[in-house]
Amino acid sequence: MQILGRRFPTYDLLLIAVGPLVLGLLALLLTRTRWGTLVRAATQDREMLGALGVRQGWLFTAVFALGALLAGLAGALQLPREPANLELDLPMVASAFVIVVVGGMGSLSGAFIAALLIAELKAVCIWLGVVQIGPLSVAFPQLTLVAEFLVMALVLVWRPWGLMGRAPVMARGEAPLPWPGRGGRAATLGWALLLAVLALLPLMLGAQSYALVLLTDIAIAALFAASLAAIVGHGGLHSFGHAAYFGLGAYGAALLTHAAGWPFAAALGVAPLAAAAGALIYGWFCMRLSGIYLAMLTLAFAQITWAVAYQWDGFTSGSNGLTGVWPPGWLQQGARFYWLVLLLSSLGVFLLRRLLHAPLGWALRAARDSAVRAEAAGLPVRRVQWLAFTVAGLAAGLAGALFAFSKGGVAPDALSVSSSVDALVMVLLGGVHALAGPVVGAAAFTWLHDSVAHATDYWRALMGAIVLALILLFPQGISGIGQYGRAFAAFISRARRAAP
Amino acid sequence: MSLLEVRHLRKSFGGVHAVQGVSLDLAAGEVLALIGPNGACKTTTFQMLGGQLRPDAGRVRLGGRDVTGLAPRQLARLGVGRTFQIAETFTSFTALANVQMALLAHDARHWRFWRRADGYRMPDARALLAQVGMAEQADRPCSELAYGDVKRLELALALAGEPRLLLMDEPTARMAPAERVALMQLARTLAKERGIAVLFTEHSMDVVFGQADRIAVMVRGELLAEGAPEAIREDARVQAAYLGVQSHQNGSGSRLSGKGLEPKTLEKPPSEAKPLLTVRELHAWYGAAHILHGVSFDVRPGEVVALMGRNGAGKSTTLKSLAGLLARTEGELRFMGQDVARWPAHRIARAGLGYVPEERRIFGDLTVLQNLETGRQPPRAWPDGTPLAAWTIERLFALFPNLREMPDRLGARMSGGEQQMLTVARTLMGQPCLLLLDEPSEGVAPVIVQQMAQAVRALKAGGLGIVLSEQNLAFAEAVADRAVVIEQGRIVHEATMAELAADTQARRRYLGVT
Repeated sequence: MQILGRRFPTYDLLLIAVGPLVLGLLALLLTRTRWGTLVRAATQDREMLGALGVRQGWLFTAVFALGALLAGLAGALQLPREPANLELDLPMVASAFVIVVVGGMGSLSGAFIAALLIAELKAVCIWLGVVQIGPLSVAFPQLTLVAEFLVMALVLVWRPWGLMGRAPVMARGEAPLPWPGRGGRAATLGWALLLAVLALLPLMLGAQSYALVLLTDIAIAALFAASLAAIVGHGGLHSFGHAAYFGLGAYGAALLTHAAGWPFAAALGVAPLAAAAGALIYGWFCMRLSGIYLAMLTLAFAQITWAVAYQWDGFTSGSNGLTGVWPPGWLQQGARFYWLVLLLSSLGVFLLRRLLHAPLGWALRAARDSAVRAEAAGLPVRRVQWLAFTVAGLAAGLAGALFAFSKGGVAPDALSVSSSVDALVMVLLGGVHALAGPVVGAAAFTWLHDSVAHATDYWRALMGAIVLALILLFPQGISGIGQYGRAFAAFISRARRAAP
Repeated sequence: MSLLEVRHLRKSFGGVHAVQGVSLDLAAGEVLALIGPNGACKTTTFQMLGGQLRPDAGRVRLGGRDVTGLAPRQLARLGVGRTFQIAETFTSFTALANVQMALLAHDARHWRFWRRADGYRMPDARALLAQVGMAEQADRPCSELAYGDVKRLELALALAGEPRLLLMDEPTARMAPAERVALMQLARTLAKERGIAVLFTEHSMDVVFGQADRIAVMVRGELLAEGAPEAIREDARVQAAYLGVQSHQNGSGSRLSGKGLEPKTLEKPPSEAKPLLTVRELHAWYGAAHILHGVSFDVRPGEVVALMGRNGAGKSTTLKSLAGLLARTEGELRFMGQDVARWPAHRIARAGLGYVPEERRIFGDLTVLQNLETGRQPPRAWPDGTPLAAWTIERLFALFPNLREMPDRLGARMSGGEQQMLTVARTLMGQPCLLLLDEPSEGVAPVIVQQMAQAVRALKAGGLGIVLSEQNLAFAEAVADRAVVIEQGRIVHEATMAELAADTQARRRYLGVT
């Protein structure tokens, strides 16, 4: 079709028209109909809506179905322009999230504007091509990967609730669970015993056993997951981009060994500090936000870090990653490296636990429970959260550095969204109410991952199904089994007392 | 010289002038009550003094130092302690740990990361809890405490900061009458002992007139009057704007008084009608805690049953169980011939049993009309086929005239009293045959309490059955036919409202009032 002397594909014009049309219909549905009013009420207080006679199960199913319908429509409309493939999932989810957050949660027009803005920006990047700015040659097309996250980071720092969003009316959440406190002597003894068995294992299995490789992975994952659980569970700081600090630690170790030629010990010691520095900088921005906005901004920073690692060929070797990062020869003998990992990981988890029971950990939890009360009591809420975020970054960085040395290198995968999601799944799987949770979750996840991946070609589906089943079965996490046991015991004793 | 000097404080929200030039003085050891009708911007004033809001203009001085617009954290360091309208505590901690946390923050020891926190200043923390009468609950998780106890814990948290100035926003809201006076007496004693200046807002007039040294009355963002309690009581402007006419002649001090609210006689006793609701052996649990231990009562059409008793006795829990909002209940609930005991909340509501929550739970992002829409259900008929007079927006606006003036106001922008009216109106949109009203007179100005009482009577006249959870004896006397007194999840006393009103002994024993 010809417009102003230029040719436009008719289909693209149709797409341009469909967007505003769907937006208009959706806006009408939500603001002008009873159903829309109920949906908006339900986002604030589902229970109250139920008490007013609204069947919220149906309502939410319908909303979900409508969302799925629109997503399906979008997918179908996109098909003539881009063939369907299996790699659509995470980048698409991430983009959708970014757009919603940039536009402002709950604002349809905001989302529309944000989508236009980001898509246009990407188009402009491609159109610009490689541009010479002074001595630098900037390849704009490569920036498309970062562009949307860069926009999001800027927007959220400037307008914390998105372009068209308002500060959220506090939704009624469930009261946080009481803190279980310390596990007591038996628990301490149990952990000590477990560590002793793990330390003696190489002597029984031999140093070449595959179990040691798996256990090394588990120990590293446990430290990574524990560092995330510390801020998610105790601080209510939902970080969706914790892989950034894991990856910074890993890349730090690899680069220090490779490019700077540092000895192993120095690289291992300094790499976590690089991660902590990253957490310190990102945290300054992130701690201004809370809830889903915080989650999205952490994700944005992780994506930016990933894109840098992926595209800066000269420094990070791009998608190939850095290889040949091994611990020195004497450490590779026998099970020595396994022992080192076991020692550092358990030390890391122990220190995190210590911190959570210390005043700083209490302050972090107090800030989560009631930021208003914490401020009124004289607690610098944001600085406490910032420090905790940085410490968690440090621990994740240590895990990352150990990971780099155990695998002999690092690739951008370590920084990717899926790596962050893995950590979250470990935490959810294990439960957030004690640091034992992520340790158990990491062990279960890593072991499952390993055995399922070996067993079948459909391991992704199977893995997903198993994780889902476990989470449905143990809503408090696997480590919450203890709570069921206690509740059951209490029930029995009550029943006994009640019996004449 | 006064400790706190407030000069010409102003604040507007998006063009609406909220606080318009408030000036106050408060000396060390003095107790000043800030009272006024709902929507007078008392809370806004409080938030400016506590650092939650920054004033547009005006000055606040504390001990001669300019503290205008400082953050709450900085104010805390300068000796400003506060309690909130809805108590703010650290819910995942035990009561003791709450106080220890406040002490840690006050001592600026919160950066420590090695030594365990649970041993920190234990004796001091226990002493603070003992001071507010919470010694026995020290080791209970905060989330399991009754609301009145949470309020007292909050006072302990504020005291942990060794304040020079204590700001209390409706400190006794949702507490039993006897507890109200006790709490403020405690605050007053502490203020006198330690020279703490106390500024509080309050709707409970016996607390205000009994405990304050001075009273400031705020109406529509401005100070209307200020002075000693006797002078304020006699002030004609204050009576017209807030207290209602001929108020408080008797020293017994009720939160409501004035014409139209004398205890009334029934036109006809509804006792011969068939019960709308039959409750038998109702048990209920919150998590593992067994709260109700076999509660039984009936409600007939046109009958108002008042559930009375102290805080944490199980009144709200009873109403929530009836509305189907608790995860675990046992017992028999018959509503208009149907066994509704196992029904989910939405089905119970659709059967014509309407629930009005204590916390109001207005949808803040929706307008008044939209809030009403969420409750709408088709018109209903009684079991014998006679239709109920259907509630329409127009009829509801007639019942609550204040709402008529703000059909497009967002729920979050309404004052407490307006929200209280809206929450009742919203439930009425469901055309209920029976209404569960949780503390409708709580946290609202005397004038609105009177309106609320008139509304309840109008509903009763329309034949509705009403179960009322109420701590305000005067309100219950004005509207209820029967009283059911609950203590620790059991019914300990039942009487007609008139009998209870006459029975001084029972009142003292069960309700703590004379």
